[in-house]
Amino acid sequence: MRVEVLRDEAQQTVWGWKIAAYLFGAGMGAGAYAAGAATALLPGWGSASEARVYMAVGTATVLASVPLLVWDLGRPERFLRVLLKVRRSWLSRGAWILLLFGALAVTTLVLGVPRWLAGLSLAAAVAVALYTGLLMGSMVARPLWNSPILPVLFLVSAFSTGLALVRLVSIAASNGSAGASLPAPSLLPSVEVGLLATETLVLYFYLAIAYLRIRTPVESLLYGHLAPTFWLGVVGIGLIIPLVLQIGRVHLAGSAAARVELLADACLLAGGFLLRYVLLRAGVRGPAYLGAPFVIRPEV
Amino acid sequence: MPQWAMVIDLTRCTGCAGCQVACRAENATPPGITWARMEYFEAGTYPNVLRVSLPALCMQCREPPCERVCPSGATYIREDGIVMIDPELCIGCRACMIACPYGARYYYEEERTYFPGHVTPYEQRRSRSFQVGTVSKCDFCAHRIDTGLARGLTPGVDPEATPACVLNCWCNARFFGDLDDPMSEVARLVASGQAIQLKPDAGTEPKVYYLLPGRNVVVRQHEFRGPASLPREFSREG
Repeated sequence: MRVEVLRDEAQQTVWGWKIAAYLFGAGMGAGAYAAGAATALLPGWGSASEARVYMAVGTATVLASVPLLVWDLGRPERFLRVLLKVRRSWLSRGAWILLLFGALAVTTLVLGVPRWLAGLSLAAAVAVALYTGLLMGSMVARPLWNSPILPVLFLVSAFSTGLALVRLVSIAASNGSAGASLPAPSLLPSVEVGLLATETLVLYFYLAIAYLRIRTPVESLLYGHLAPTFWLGVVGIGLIIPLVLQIGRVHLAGSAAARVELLADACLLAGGFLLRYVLLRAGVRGPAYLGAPFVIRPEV
Repeated sequence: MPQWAMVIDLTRCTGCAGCQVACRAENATPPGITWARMEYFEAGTYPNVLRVSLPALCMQCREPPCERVCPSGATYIREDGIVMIDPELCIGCRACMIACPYGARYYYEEERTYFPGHVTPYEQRRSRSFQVGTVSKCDFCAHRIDTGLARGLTPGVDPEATPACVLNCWCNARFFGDLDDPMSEVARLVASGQAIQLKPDAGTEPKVYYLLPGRNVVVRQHEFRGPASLPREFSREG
């Protein structure tokens, strides 16, 4: 039995590009910050000064994304009310997480990077990257989003875009100051390749499992009206091109390698935004009468 | 405390959309905001097909997901079970519209009147309820219930205390009353076991029930095709 639905939202339009940009920016900033904290904590990732630059870039990106959320409100002047009551809403929790992250990040930058503080702020950055996935993943009304894999996807994408951002910044900085101040560490590109491969896998499993639950939104991504953005933008520009460029870059040296890396990172970032955008757009609700048992009495 | 509920008998509904008109007249909802709306759709495969008219409104859930996601506390549940929005508290984040499985919530994006530059008496009457940049929805005509109860009337029985959509239903397809009162019509219809809730899997426990003519065809989740794939869908299979 098939049902035709004539009056339903073709795509999710309640939350638009501002929310997508926030999801992207906050995730990317949190990922960049996490890359900084990891650089401070792990041996072989880079110097303490690099760690500080990464953390500063991450903090600035997260803080610059928050105004997008306020701008998207119907009543921006009332945004502080989110913090007046402690509620079980993920929006409310997210506001507290952002506040906590902001406080920790600024403290870390002022105090330098002691190990314990770096660990603590790493946890806060992970919370910033995760909570948006939990917020969308807990929406039962949106079958495409309502998945425990969505927070994982957002987290992996936050790490990959964050890493791409700090690589872009360090390459730009090393070009600007005669290549001396911020040498790009050799470990990060291989981490980036690993993250991209993981993201591809997570995206596959996310969509495959979502397809078992509800077909329409997944179909709109795979061969519906969102397919061009999904295949060209998210998969092509966001995953395949950066992967190929990062792997092929090994054979290049000097400024050519830096240019290829620049292109790879820029593509990765564009794909990161488009991933959030198409997932937001595809998150349709389905008509109110889904699942209702209707009777058909054949004429005798 | 009473628990207000509604039962809609789809075997009686003719799909005239009188409820939609009555709601608009009563609440003066701005253009594009239709608290009580009609949905028309088809179910089944040829030759066993059915055209359904489904009056939809806020389901006044016992476990409203909209209330759970509201970050400012603007959405709250009254003691009588009606889910309300305080437009003074709403920040316009629209998370509730994302969370509602029934599409019952509407965002008032910009000032709109039916006749540009002119506010009709209907629109003046309840203009306070519609703040630009906030979300609104059906509240079972809570103002009618409250003023009716204050006058000693019984909602669902006395017209002055009953939601406008119920009053205007000339097919008598809508029943309204107290679910906790075992003698009320809605309580008896719900107790009959014939009344169903929409999207029961969502765990929302709606207090709007529907009576369906039987149980042969289930509109399943994986069968629905949104307008996303309409062109494909128009070439009917089988």
